[in-house]
Amino acid sequence: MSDRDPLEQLARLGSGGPVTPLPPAEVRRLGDRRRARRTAVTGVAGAVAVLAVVIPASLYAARDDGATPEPPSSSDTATTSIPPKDRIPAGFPLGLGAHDYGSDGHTEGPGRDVSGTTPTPCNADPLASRTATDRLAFASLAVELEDYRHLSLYADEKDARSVMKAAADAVAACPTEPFDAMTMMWTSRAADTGYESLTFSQGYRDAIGGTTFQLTRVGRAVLMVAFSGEGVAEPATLTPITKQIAPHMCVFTPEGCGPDASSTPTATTPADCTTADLDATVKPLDSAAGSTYAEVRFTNTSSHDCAIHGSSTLRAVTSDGLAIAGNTTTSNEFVLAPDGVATALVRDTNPDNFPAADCMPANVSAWRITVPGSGETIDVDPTGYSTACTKIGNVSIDPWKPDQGDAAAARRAAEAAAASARAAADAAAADASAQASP
Amino acid sequence: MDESEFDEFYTASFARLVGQLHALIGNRDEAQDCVQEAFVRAWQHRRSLERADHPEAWVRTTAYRLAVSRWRRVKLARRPADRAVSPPAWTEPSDESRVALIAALRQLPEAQRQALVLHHLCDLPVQAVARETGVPEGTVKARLSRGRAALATLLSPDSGATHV
Repeated sequence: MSDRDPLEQLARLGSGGPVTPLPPAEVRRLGDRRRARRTAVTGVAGAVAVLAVVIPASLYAARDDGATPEPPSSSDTATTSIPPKDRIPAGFPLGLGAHDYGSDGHTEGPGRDVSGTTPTPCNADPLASRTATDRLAFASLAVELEDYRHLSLYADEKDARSVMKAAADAVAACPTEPFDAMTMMWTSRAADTGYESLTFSQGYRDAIGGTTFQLTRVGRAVLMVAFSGEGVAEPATLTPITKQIAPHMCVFTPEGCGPDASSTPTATTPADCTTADLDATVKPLDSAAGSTYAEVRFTNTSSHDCAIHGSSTLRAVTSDGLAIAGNTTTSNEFVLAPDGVATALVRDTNPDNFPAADCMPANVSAWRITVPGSGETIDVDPTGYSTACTKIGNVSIDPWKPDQGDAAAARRAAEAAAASARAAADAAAADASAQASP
Repeated sequence: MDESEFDEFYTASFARLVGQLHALIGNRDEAQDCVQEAFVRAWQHRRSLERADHPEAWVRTTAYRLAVSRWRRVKLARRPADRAVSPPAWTEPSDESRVALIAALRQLPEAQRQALVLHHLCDLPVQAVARETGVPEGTVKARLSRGRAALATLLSPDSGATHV
């Protein structure tokens, strides 16, 4: 009864009906446009931050091309039906500390109509467990990251407190939740924001992807900051954002903001380093018994300090675009000043050490490394380490460390350059005055 | 890969990849959207595609990751009207055994479904399935064997589990 054989059926499944592809020229045009943009954004030769492939991207494609109008931004006309007391004031800085992804990403809001992720452990919806009198949302969306913030204002402090409790209860009551054929997991996380906060992550037992949420109550308002991406973001990614926004929530307290409120908000920790901040190069090191080593050097090419903190994953990417399982390490927190360098040691066990059948070697076109904390990945060119085993992990990364020697060297070089520029200017000035005098 | 080579590759493989992704994710509209997006990226990264031994595998893997990621996010974002989480809207003439098969595949664990589709529909040898999914061949064989058994049970005439 072969037509009932599911495998026969599967083999004959075919395309399942007509398809409506875009014309090939249109596909190439879209690809070219992104290529041009990315080149303009990354710009730096050597390690190119080719961002990995994970996002609701065809939604983005429409926006990228300007085909979809920008969402309406918040305006007072939208709030006329809300009594002033129950309204979030215009200009509330919900977008503080958002990373600028340039034309590789886009932001929405702050506005009342911006949509995004809110936590729903086992179908509970804590933020909606009390009626919010007003809401405001903001999203910053990049190729593989989603930074979403949401502010709910409740009628009184009691309601806001019970929303926080509902969220804590919902997470505690829902360690796992079936999601299609997978298992979704909800995990409480530790973080100190200096406010009444609750931090937790949602991930999957056997799959990548997830979201970390941080809820913070000030007065009768609850702020939510969430990061979604291929990895599960560390709380340290969210806490600096909460710390920047929460001081502005004093307007929702009975005491108000006080006379010197405008000077209170200060960020103490710089934002996490992102792929846009970092330029990566590979420096080959000596070989040891059966292994070769390389140092990946990450230079902060931005003009601001940024923080390295949390886990980093290395995966080798084969020339046909497949990412091979690698390893994950956790780095201690440190701050990278502009031009500062962080290094991470990569160990590559020679694939020739393994029987070909155990190793199943493949050509490697990149090492894909997660920037700690941000969940973004950066692809580096593994020059000289062009083969990897697809069946066993033969490439691994150590925690990121600050490269003190090199930062100092860079500073010395900069000082020397400045000194020589000053000397040249002095000489030119002397020259000019010499020429000017008869 | 020049323009005419890309166009030929795209035209020849688009429908096939949509069918494969449909079986992998259970939603035809999503499958087509994701394959479309994967081809845009393929042209964007055509230099690496040129070096790829199996360009079609590259596009399929990219499309599959897009679909999985998008589907998870949409679920989390609670957009009930989104078709990614709605029951599939079949646009093709209804073919009962086909619908039953896709519905049964959706009930399998992701890894088993992926192994079955890559091996039986995409006609890849076990070694290539192992490479595409990043797991050892032995694991692929185990997934295939469990997946076949589960599928047979789900589709057996006495089973009420096909929901069709």
